[in-house]
Amino acid sequence: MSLLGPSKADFYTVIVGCGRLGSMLANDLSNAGGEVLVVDKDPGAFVRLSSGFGGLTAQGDATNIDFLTETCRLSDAFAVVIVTDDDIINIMVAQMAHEIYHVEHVITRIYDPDREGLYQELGIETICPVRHSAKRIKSMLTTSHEEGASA
Amino acid sequence: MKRSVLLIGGYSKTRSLATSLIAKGYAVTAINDNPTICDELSSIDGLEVVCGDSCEAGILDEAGAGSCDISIALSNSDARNLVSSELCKERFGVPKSVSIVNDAKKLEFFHSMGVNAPISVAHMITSLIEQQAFVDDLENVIPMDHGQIEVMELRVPKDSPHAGKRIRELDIPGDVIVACLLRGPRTIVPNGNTTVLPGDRLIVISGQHLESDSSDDSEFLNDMQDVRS
Repeated sequence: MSLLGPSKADFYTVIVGCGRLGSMLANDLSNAGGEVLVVDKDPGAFVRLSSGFGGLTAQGDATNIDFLTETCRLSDAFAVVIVTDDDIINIMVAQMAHEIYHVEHVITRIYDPDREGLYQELGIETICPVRHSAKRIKSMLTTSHEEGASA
Repeated sequence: MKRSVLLIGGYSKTRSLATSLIAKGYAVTAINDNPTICDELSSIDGLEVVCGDSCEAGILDEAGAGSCDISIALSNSDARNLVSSELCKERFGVPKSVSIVNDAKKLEFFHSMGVNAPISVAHMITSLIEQQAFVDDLENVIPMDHGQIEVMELRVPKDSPHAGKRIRELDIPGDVIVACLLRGPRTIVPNGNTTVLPGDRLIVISGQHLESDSSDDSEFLNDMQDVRS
């Protein structure tokens, strides 16, 4: 990752967590032509990446400063998307990305809707799948209820 | 009104701190998400125990974070320590937050996120070991401010030629202050005119590391050090 290393101009994105969402995002971003690095503590997680995945992977602990500085080159990242399955880790890594590495776009997945408000105050973009699903399900139910009523 | 302390996570440090703080008259509450640990902590007399996730506002509320003076995060997870400390500060207005930081490189980061006193156990231990291994002539060296200043205790030998002199007559280097003079049970804040007597203990603050065998040490300090060997 030295001579051919990523630079800001390539919209280098780091995805933290290679679970279902992380691997899907990584595949999509890589297919769209972006520079992607996916990291995960568990090397087995990378099997979820498609065989055509054109990005890089790195195994390591995303809460470790040396790993983030040297292996992930987080200071060079245009965006970091934090999607591990642990909300609390996601929050801390997001804050590290902001505070230490000054990454322009930090997106974090939070499972618990109650925590979302507090972290938006800190300038971290969060996506809360629970809230989104609930909204979506509610709108689906409302629509089908209306359809049922008019039939 | 008792000052109240919230101990978040941890186990052996929590037990030890709880016992010590309760003995000192603090109102102490511990939060832990492990029911077995909560059971064991409950056996400590005077300790309030809340079993639950310390990163949840509801649990912190139940534990009295809203009226707490100091929060101390003690778990093995830096992320949990950080988030619970931040919640205590931002959501509940706890004036002072203390936290263990397991990854010493994150000390500064914790500071910038508003934790008042982040503590690296590894740093403290290696400091102590260094002192014990290399600075054995000087007693009670407490490194402060990341090793920039040192506080130490020196004793005036009974037969010291410096006994009977005033502090301003002693050959003390410029960046060393005699902060305090202990004479028997008395604590004296000395000035230049204070006379130093045999058996006195001087609490001295130095801006640089004083080597026991350094040749630029003053005659006065060398004399003090001889007592230790």
